[in-house]
Amino acid sequence: MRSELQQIQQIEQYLSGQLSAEDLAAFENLLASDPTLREKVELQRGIHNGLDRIHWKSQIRGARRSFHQKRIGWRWGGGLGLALLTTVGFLLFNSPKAAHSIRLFHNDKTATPTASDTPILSPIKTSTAVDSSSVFAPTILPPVTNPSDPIPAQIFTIYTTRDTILSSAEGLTLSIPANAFLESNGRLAKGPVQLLLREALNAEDILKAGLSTRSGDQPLETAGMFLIDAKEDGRLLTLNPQTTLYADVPANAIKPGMMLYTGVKKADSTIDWINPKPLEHNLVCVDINMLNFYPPHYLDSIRQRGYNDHDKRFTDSLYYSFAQYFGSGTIYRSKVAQQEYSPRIALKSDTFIEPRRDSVTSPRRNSVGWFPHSCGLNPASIKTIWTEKFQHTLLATHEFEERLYWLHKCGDQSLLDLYINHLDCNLYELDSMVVAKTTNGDMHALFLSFQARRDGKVKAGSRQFQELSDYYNKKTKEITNAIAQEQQAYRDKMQTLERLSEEKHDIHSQDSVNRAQQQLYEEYNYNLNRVAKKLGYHPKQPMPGQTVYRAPITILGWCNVDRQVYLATQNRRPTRIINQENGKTYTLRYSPANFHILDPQNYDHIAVYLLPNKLSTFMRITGSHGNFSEWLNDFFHYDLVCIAYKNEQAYYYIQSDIEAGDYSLGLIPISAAQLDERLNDLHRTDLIEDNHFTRWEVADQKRHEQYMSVVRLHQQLRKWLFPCLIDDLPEPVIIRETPTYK
Amino acid sequence: MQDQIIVELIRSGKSDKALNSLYKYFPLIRKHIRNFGGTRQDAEDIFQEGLIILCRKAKDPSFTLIAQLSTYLYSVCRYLWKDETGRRLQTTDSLPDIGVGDEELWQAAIDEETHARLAEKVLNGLGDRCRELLLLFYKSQLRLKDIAQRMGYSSENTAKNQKYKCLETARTQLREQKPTFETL
Repeated sequence: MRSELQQIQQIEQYLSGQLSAEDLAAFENLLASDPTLREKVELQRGIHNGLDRIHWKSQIRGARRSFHQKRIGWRWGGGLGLALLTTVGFLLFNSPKAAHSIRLFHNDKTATPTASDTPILSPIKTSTAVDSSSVFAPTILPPVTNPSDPIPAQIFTIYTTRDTILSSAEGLTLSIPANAFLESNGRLAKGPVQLLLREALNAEDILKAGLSTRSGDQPLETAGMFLIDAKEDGRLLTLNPQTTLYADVPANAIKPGMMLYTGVKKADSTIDWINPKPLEHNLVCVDINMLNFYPPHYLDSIRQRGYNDHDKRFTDSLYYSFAQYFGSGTIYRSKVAQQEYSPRIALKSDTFIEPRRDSVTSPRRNSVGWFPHSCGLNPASIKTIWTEKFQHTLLATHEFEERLYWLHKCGDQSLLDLYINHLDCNLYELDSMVVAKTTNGDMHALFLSFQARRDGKVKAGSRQFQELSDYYNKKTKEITNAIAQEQQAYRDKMQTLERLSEEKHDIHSQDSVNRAQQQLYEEYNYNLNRVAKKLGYHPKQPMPGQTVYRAPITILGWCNVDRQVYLATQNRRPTRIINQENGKTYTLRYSPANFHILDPQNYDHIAVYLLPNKLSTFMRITGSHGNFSEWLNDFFHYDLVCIAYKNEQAYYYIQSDIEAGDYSLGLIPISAAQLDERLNDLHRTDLIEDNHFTRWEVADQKRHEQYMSVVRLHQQLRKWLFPCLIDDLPEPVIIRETPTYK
Repeated sequence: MQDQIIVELIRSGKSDKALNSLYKYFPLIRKHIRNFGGTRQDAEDIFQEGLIILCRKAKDPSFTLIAQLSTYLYSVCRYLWKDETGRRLQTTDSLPDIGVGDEELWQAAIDEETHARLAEKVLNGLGDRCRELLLLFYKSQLRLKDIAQRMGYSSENTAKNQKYKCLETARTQLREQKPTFETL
């Protein structure tokens, strides 16, 4: 053992660097050859580190206490300085409440399409979509007498006084407006009209019918042929020149350059196709509320983050809130100017684009920064157009929706404005403008392919469109500013709440520290008096009164009964107290009690209190996962109070005269008022206050979490939706100096 | 207080003033941790751990200030919290990117701290007397004679024996905690 002690001493000296150079070299030699010694050194080093941590922890505890204490004092001293401590951090917000007020800026029904809204609208006003009298199932007649024509005619009977949409056996859809047919004398055909339709939409039918696919000497690629005749009482009718029938020919893909040819029967009974006209693809309006104007994958990403993507009020308000970055006076700053910015968005994954050979003049590799203004579309402009106002316009079409998807990806506001300011134009004309504005890159190729589809326009008076354009330009600005203000107000409000919450917590933690001190002091006094009687010792009476917090420290002495009793009280363990003057001993008894809360996972918050009958304060005891334990002083009787919360609902358990041992506590639900009454019966006002604090804290924690989750969602989405907005997360160096404490 | 002064205070053992000064960064750290899903208690724990690491590092004579202490403290706390959330979620994939830099700087310190925490646990389990004795001997560097007087041991020799026993228990328990000891 002697050598062992010497070795320990040597290790200690080595670790604290006290060995002389000579000894150090010798020791290191030894160390290199002796693994057991190495292990011992490591263990000793570990113990030193552990002691170091214990030492620091107690130091930090002291700093923590004085921090909380001084903070309180300082707060009462000068409330203004507070903001410095608590408003560091940059926050963004949204909440259902803010969303609600944002929505006030347009009084439409965007978010809640009602049952009365027409579900699907078409340029031809059908009296009602479900009126079966206007849409007839095709009637197949027996083969027609002409033997050279093997295609059976389909005959429909329609009423010309109303609009009719009919669909054929092969899928051809005919839109026939009211009063579309004239009798031979030029009068409108009023009666039931037999419509005779022959269609050869696929290659087999075309060949069977012996139909040629030539125009003069040129071969034609065909997307289908059809023949329409109309008869009233057996007499042939002509088409009313003031109306147009629309035929939708089903096709797997829209091929550019398709034309409508008129067939002329030649002497050899073949058909020559003449007089080609470009197909006009009139746009079909749908309910604008059924379209998706959000940025690509916006809803997906909300769903992925665990939010309800079907709650349009929420998704709208979240998305529109980003408009705050687009106002004139706000923090819209772009990284685009910096050269290194390269778009994250790649178009290449979308395979439906068939780039035309002549269109892609420069490959993407060469076009660094080919999305020149790509900071995203202003959500306020989306908010403006995604409304009832823009029903029945170019924008309320699937075709526009498809383009908007790419406009979002491109992020160039001026391109979107192009569409909105030219609602009376054909979509393909607008596409060509986009093509002209984007001189290279994939957007160019993409919109060339859009243009080639020759998507037309929505028919309506152009004056109305002009008004809408003005409305758009004015409203977008208004909404942007309103959202920015709204967000600022919301931000301020939440900051205030956060600050108040911090304050309240600080005050409460200070109260808790004081109470624990008070309780220790009282218990110590009690123990000391009892022990002193037994040991025939006369303790110095600590100063009573206000300075409780300091009292235990001023009377501490070393190695006397006071000190032993103080340590025992602080440690709450059974301790033998020795009076060294007369050798008498006495044991202070503390015994363990364990409390197990049944089903702790059912509660958000559990607090367990012990009320010692001889002390004025309660003890809040610590524990986790529903297991709480404390050592009970045998001098006292204790009452147990347990209060838990699940949301607003309180649960409680009260038992008197707790003794050492194990307890299982099943909590009972109770109303807040009744709980207050029960606590009142115990005559412990501080316990009631603590409970009130807990009740507030549970609600406040919920508020805080809700707020923070929205802030986080907002931050994540912002990075992703508007990647070039400068990241404003606070840096650690912007800590402001707080006033020095006194 | 200037950073260099704080470091000097820590080195010269007057850490209470240094800690009081460092504690003013607590609200910022608390805000950060609460923003990333931590509770108030988490914030207290992480901040305490951050302070321990910073102070222990500052004691090391080879430690030189290359950034503001607040930056050190902030970044170690952020790192600790990232570590902690990673452990809680059993994954690092879904962690929000909180932009922690200086990872290498802190990883070593935190690893070392994990060992030290083990020792701390063992020492706390020894009982108050043993702990106090070892603290007085190693941290306050009192002579055994003074320790004997303070703690009520009859003689210096008793205190010495007691210290040996405590140390031996601690070593044995620590060895059990770490059965495979890495060689130096």
